[in-house]
Amino acid sequence: MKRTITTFLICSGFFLFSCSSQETSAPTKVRLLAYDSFVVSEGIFDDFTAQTGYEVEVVTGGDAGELLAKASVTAGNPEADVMWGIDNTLLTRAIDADIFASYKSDQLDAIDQELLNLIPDAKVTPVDTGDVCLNIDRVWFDVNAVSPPTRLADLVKPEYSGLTVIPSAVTSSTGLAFLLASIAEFGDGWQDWWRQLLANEALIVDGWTRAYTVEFSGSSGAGNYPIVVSYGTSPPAEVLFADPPVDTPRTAVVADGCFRQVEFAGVLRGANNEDGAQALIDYLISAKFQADIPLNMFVYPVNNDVVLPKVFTDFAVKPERPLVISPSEIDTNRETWLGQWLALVG
Amino acid sequence: MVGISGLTVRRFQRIGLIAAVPILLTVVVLILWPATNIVIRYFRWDHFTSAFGDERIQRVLWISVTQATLSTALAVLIGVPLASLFAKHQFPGKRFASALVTVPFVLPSVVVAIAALSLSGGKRPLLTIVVAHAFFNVAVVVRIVRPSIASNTTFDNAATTLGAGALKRLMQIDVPLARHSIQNAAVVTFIFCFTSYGVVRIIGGLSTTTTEVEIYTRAIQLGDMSTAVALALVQTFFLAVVTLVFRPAAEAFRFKPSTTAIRQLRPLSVVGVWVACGLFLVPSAVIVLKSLRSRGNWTTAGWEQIDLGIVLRSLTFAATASTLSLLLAGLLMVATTHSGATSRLISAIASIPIAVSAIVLGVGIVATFNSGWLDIRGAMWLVPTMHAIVATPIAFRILRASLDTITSDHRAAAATLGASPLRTIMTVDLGAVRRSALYAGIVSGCVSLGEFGATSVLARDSSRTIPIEISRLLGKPGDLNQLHGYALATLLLLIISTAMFFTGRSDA
Repeated sequence: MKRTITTFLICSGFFLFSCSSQETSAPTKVRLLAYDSFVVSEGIFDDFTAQTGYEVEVVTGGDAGELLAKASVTAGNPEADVMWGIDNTLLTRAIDADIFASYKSDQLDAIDQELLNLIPDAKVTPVDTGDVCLNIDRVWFDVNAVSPPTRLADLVKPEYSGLTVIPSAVTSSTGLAFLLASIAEFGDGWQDWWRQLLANEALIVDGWTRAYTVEFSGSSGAGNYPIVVSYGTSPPAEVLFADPPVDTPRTAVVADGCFRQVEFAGVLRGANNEDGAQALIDYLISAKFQADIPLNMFVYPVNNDVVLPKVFTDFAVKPERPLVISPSEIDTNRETWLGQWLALVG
Repeated sequence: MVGISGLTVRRFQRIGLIAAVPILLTVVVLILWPATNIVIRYFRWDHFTSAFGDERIQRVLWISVTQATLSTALAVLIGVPLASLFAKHQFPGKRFASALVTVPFVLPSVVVAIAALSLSGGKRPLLTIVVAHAFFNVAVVVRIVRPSIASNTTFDNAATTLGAGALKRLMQIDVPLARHSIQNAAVVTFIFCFTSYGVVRIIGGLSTTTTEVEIYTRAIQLGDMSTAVALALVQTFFLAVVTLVFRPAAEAFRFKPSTTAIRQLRPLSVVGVWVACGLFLVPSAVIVLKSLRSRGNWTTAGWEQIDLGIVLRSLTFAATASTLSLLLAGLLMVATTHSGATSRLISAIASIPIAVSAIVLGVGIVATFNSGWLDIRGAMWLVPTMHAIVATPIAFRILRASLDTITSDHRAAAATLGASPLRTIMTVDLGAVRRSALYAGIVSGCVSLGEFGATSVLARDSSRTIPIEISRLLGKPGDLNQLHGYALATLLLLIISTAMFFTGRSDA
């Protein structure tokens, strides 16, 4: 028994320290930290490795909020070289936490100036955009001979009573984006609108998964609510992943009243491999990588040279004039807004 | 200790202390240090005091205590009679029924929550949470209580001869004799329910939320780490008090395991038992159905998407975690063989991991081990090791329960026959727990398969595990993603029930 204990002690000691040595010579890898839902095609980084000699190691660990919380406590001593996934609702908090090192790529030509304007001191680079929009179940509205809502203000009308399901702004990033949409749309009247919305029997649930896959009538969950807060790119997924296969999605996007989410990637301050990190940022906005994004993550590329897949041009909606609130304004008011919102609905 | 000299007792204690070293080391290094680090960094006295003036937080604390108490009461109310039934009776399909009851414990919470929602229709959140938690934890109660009842059939037979009915026997014999095991089971269940995150978040929505959900919201969504830390401290302190007051106790009375054959159940009762256990099938059936039905059609498309690599990786993690946690739980048992203040302290320290807020721990690990040779973030072994540490207190309580079947006579006999304390522990104590060890190992593996908050935020290479893949798939639109997610959940269910079924054989 004594021997067993000694052996265990030695083993656990070995276990603890064996894996912790870090290479100190010239790095051969770039580490990309992303949220759990980050998906890319296999071999997408092969070109990058061929061009730069660096291998890309993708690590995931939580959602965007969790990544930011972790990065904030280790600012200057990061888990990886590049972080993917901070969006415009979190950007100011990330910059205040000083987790990023400035880097301005010289390949920004294909990206809209509007997106680049969001970023102070070239701390990050935009990599994709998505819009949080109302989705509707077309079949339900056909069968019940009700005309679907066309803008946020419609949701409080009596004909849409008890039809809308919304993820919570407090526990879901989709829900937060929807709250911001309502603030951008109604200004000071937003609280009043939410009061009417609740009086109109809207259902608020914890997150997107329950809202869309359980309560929404248009998804396979076949719930009771034909209006849901989701994304402008959800209908293409309803075609591509349909079972049985369909030609057109059962769902559609309400193009008015969408809130634009912009996601960024940045070089983490104190990165082990800063050169590799900068090269990787260039690659992430290259046409080659950007073209891989839509069908894997169902967001829009920021690189305007990319030709969108047909299913996107047919069924996804990218509103011309989405609702926006600047990252700094979001950051300044987030706690107040969430507090007021909670007081209304909680 | 009857029949063993003071000298021998001291030798037992010394072995115990040596065994405690690796446990204390792991808990201190991987749990206490990172958690304390975060607390020191973010603790603000004014946040601490203002948090308790906050009406919402007061309500959250109140709901946490209420739902955990109700959930525990329900789990015990269902679990103890089932444990007694499984311990003392033989009936057709017993192994299957016993596996059925224990499966829910290890299902990912998102799956249990959605199954519960599909059944409740989203109404009465508090009740749905309590039922879902009970559904989760009956397994814990049955497993911890069952061995103590199994060793008490002598009294039971006497009572039957004297004409006592089933309920009377349960209340007047089983419950008093197994009361320490029941208490152990209740404490574990209470801690699980109190710190529950996924089930509460999904079912409870806005109105019914608990401390762990609030900690998460503050830390991640609002970036208010100070209030999160204040809440986490209160949670850990409260659970530590609960654990210390109701510490894992040995049975006061020990009886020789009965050699009397267990009774056959009457056919009518068999039907009753089957109906009761069948209820446990309902939520599982919802999941199976969701993996096979899409838009009113039957399909196997979700199953065809399953990537075996992910399944194998999860199983490897689980096997590693289960071996490690058995080792730790075994050491913990040796360390606490003898009652006394030291052994109580050791077992209390080992229980800390399940009482620490998962999100605070996860962030703490990243914040603590981040430079030089200490930089273990992203290390392959970190995730299974953390799983093992969290599973250890549970494995320990399962092992402990079967240790209660040993009488001090056994140890005295061994000593009289000239066995050294080490040999006594090896043959008597370890011999008695061999069967439970298999189960404890499997439960630990299953805890790992189900993942939990702290490890889900630890960075890992793009290789995913089953629970992370399930929540990723359920977080995407499209029928196939949903089918695929539920197919993985069903597969998890199948793996676990098969494992439980085969451990069931060794109890028969």
